[in-house]
Amino acid sequence: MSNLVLGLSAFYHDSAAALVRDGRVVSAAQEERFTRRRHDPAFPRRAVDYCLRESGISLEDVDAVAFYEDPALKFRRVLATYLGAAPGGFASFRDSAPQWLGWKLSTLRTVRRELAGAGPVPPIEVRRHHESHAASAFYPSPYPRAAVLCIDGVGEWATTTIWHGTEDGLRQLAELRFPHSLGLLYSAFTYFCGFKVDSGEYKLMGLAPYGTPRYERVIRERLIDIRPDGSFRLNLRYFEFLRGQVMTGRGFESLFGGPRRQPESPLTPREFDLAASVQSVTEQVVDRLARTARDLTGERTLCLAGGVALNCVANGKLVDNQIFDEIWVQPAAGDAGGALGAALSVSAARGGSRDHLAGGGDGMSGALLGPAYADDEIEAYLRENRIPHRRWEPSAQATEVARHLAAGRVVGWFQGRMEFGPRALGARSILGDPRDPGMQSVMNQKIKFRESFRPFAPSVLAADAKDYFDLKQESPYMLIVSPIAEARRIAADGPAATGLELLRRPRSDIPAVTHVDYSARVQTVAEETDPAYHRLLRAFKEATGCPVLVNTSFNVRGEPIVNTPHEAYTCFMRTNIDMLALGPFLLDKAEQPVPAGDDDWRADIPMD
Amino acid sequence: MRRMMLGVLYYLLLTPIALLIRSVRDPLHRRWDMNKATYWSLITASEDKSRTFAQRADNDC
Repeated sequence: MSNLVLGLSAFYHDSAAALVRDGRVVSAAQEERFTRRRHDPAFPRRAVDYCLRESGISLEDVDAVAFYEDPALKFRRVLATYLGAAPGGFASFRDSAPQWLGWKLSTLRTVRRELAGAGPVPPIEVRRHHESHAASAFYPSPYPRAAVLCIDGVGEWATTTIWHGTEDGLRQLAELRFPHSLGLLYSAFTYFCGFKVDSGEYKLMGLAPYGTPRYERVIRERLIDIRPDGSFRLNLRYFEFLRGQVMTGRGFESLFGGPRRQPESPLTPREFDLAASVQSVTEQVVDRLARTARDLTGERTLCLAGGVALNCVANGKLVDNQIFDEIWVQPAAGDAGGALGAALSVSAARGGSRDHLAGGGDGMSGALLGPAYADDEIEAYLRENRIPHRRWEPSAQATEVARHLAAGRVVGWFQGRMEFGPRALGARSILGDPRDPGMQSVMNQKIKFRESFRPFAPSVLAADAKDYFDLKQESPYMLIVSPIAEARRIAADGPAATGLELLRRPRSDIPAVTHVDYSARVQTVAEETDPAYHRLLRAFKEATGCPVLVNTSFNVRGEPIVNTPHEAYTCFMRTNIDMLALGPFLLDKAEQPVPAGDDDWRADIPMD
Repeated sequence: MRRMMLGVLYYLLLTPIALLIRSVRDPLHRRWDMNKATYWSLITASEDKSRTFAQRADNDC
């Protein structure tokens, strides 16, 4: 059977398309990168166009389309939710019923109609939401057999599932169902602390080390009943998501001392402590769920997906606790990855194989699955727009960029295929020197224009990772948090600091990437996965002795990561990035013309 | 007008059905049960190996 499958996720959050040939991931991209609308939920028309173009095919060459969730099953869950909430819940019903009674119930017809413009539409196969997550976690993993754990907010009914991945494919073993959801518990606290649901969860996780988990007990006693095997139920009296369009209300206010924090208002110790508390409870639940997954499958490796799998602090604890010999996290663990998982699941059912296992690595190609721009395309763009630039040979460019980084300059690094998933991994990154104590503040406030408390992540040469981090395994996708190695730490002196005061103290010889609890969200970089980025890290090590760089995504707050050379140049010019490496070309800010009439650009970018 | 129609649908049709169903069982299984060892719904092996969909042994609630 021919086996070219186009996977789609759409109409909820972070739409995406992915193309899989005979079980091998060929391309994948989120729609937001093309439309420039963050977490764009629209049909991923441009991502589909990209996937087809990348392989030089048209829709008629595709054997099947895989959709990442079952709209009919989801509708039954939505209906059951109203049956559980009525007469409450009318506000939510009023807002969502017209959509459900209209196009949403016939989602697959909508998909077919949207695709029809691209040619004859192949058969559309549906996979359940967690089935897509599980497939995205297991099939591209480097393990022939594994336990698979998926944890998210909700798709259809399932919110937490355990699967067994073997040579025969995936088999589901257990599930927890809506409304009992670890993802929704975390999102409720995200909302209560004044951040946006479905995007502010990272911020809450980053905030947690500033606080103490003094609300942990009340969460365990009042909000979530956790059984020894990690299964749980929420106490829905304290949550509003069944009844309205918000996550929390009076129930949370009565437990946590008053109204929620208003977005963008100052953070107080309460938010630090709430973040620390829900993070601690989440880690406990994830730990127990993983132990149950091990007990049910008997496997020694674990694959993770679902939005909660982006909680790299919880992932790091799983690694530290050594419940499994090793874990592998799908880099697009959220809903975008559902497009990839659905395609992989359909491909597997049509005889697709896992050829990447022979090489010992995973099948994600370092998540570098998006568009690339040829050198002559970039050069044409630079010439057409009269942008001053110089061309370099690869090794000379790495040496030159490393020299600038070592001098404290911030560099935009745009190379090769764009990353799939929320993390920038060295293809669309902003880089800096992690030894510089002022780098975190400069990058947060003058480049990313984001909150000062947010930490930055390090990229490190894989071979040198153990010298800087107490990391028990590879972390190629920046999804495992690890302690900074003891030898790198600087003991805190002076009076005890709390809250954001903690930020002012250097904690290691790579302070810009050392969080206040001596942790770091590490990306280990291997030469075979990303030769260009590896070369740069090696050059920086040769220049400074340090094999680590600060790596943050190439965007400003509220904007999707850049995709094209033009977007990279625009971001470079709007921010305090000093140098831009666009493929083989280097651009120096000091040589660029002053842009005219672009002063109020930030007003066009919504707050995240 | 649409809001009124939706209100009628919600309060006069859906709500009575909801109250009736909830008098028998909660469709959302909200109650905490301290006597239960687990809240997991276990899934038995599927006869259809071409899909990972499984037959459900609904031991929940």
